Amino acid sequence: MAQDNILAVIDIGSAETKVLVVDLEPQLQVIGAFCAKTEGMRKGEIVNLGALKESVHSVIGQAEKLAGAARRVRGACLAVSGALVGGFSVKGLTSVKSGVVRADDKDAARADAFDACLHRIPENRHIVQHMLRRYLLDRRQREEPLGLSGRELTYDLWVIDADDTYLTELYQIPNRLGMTVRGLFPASLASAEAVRTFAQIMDDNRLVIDIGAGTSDFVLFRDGAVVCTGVIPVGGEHITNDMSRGLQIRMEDAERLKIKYGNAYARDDDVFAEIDLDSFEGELKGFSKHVSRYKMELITELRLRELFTLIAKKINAEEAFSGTVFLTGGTAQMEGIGKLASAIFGNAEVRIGEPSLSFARAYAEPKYSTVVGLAKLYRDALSQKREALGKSGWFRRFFRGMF
Amino acid sequence: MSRKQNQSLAERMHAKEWRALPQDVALSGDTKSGTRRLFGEILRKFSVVLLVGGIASLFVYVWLDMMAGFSEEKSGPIAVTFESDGGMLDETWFRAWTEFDENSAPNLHHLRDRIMAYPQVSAARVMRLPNGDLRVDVRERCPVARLVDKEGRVRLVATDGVIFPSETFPLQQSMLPILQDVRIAIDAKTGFERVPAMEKLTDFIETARTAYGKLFREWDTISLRDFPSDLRDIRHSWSLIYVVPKASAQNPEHAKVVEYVFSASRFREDLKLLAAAREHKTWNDALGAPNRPPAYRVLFITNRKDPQKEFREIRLIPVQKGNP
Repeated sequence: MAQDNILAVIDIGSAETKVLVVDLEPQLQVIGAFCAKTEGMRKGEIVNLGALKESVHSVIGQAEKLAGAARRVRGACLAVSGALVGGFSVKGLTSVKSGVVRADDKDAARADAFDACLHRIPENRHIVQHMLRRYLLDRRQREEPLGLSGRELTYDLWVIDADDTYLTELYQIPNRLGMTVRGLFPASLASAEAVRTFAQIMDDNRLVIDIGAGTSDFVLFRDGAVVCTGVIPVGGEHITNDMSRGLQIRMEDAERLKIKYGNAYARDDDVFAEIDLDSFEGELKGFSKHVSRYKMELITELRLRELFTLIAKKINAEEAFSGTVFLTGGTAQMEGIGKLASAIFGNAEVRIGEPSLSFARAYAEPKYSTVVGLAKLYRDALSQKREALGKSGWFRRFFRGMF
Repeated sequence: MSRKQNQSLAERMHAKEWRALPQDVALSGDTKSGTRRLFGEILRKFSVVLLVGGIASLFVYVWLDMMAGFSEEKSGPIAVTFESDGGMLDETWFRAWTEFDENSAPNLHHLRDRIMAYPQVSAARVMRLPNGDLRVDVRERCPVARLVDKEGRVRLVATDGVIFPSETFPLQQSMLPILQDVRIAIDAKTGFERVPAMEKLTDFIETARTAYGKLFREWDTISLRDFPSDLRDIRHSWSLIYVVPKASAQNPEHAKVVEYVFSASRFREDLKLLAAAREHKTWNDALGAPNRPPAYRVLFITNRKDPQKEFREIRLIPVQKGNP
């Protein structure tokens, strides 16, 4: 029998697909998890839907088996990322007639922002999430304008949208397994949610960068509110590719080299140092191949520098960033990446973000940030929805459970 | 902006949200996991349908078979094995009473109901044998007394008070005492005529028949004019059983005793007392003395002169013959 409180949280990355089967009631807990290589996806884009479905279905099936809920999961929560996901800002404006901001004024400004959003969003795109960036009262930023005096109230809205074809293709993956997509969140927000710690103050200025294999998602918080999100189509795979070409080695060797010896900050202390590829465990080759360590590190640094520069350019477009940078995702585990990021983001404090949520202690690795954050975001959204529905929602769930 | 406009805007926003995109949730076998899941789902649904269908079919089959009396058609004529523990009813009676058609499978429930409609039958069991033949087991009611109505028709009274016809009984059964002044009730459940509070009277008759056979053989009629219809009234002193002895040559007392009056509650003591008295010489002396009255009514009373030693005793009450 299908169980409504069990959900498959799916993060389809370019390199790996991570699936957590979570029980939402009475409290969020992971009951099964599986992670395996993704087929049919490159640099955050679906290149072979059949192969992608095959690999993701296999991972879901394994996770379900581990959860002891084989063929019972009927709901899925997905993360969206890649070049087809975008974000933009719209502003809603209203004049405060009474001179003091009332609830009606806030609603009017919000409605104006929504109206502007609907005018701006293209026909072939749908909204994934929208959130308030800030209120401006007479061009001055206000956290809560209610009761304050002013003439003009602005509702600054950040909208994350995605291409319809991408979403439809993404939906197909759980749909063809009999699962309904119940939650959809941007990967950047999910990662940011996963690495948020209790010690962190809500109004912190922080930049969370999730460096995946194909893409890098980032989200900028200013005074606790989301200012902007974005996706840069550069990730770990690009570094591997660069290494393979630059060092003239196979992609497999480049990937292993990156994982074992990768360093984001090129060390010029010994530029003649070499790495013997035969030193890889469990692999015997008929010939010996040596690559320059400095060259390898330089390739890595250049690619990551490009990535961070692109992000810095985007976030500094409106206002210079000052705060903490959290690096997460699989590539964030690379040595020296913090030092490089710090140098690019104006000597900001850089931390490697690992999921710190209590329900997912077993998955405290940067590569699980998105999937863990997704589960948390969905649970929070569900709680808010239930609170809004109140008792009628309880009755509805009860009767739906009965029939 | 008005609320209506806001609502419309909310609807438009909702239409542009990711949830508005249609989802075609359907299992397809385009991946290995999908095929497995699809197969599992089909198997599960099939199992559920099979289980529910099986249960429903079984239920319908049992219901229909119950309606048909668990009937099972037999190609040839149906043989009947009839057993009766009373030995009075036989297969001939069964065939005649039930109008049994051996060429069609009967409804066993209806057949049993028909058998039970005969008042002489207290219980019946009808079974269909594996070869399609019938076995009928009947428990008969045992008569303890007779009833003779105004037309002279004789009927028998069973131990539980049910009145049933005497056609199936042999002539020897006519030796049973005849009940008089009987109040007949109709049993609400079965519709049979019955004598109320017959249990106590049966006890009386059976005690006399088994323990005091010599006395019992001389009894002709038992009058129930002062016998209660409710068993709870038996303990009252007015609950009496009148027994009139036979007027025959084998009964030397017939000319002297017009009736015995037994207490309904203490008849065991009375019977014992009477049997003992009749064995005694003084009994015949009392009845046969030349200067004695022509007839007596025999009463049994409780002597309570000494409350510590109360006992039953016989009283012979003289009566004028022909005028009791």
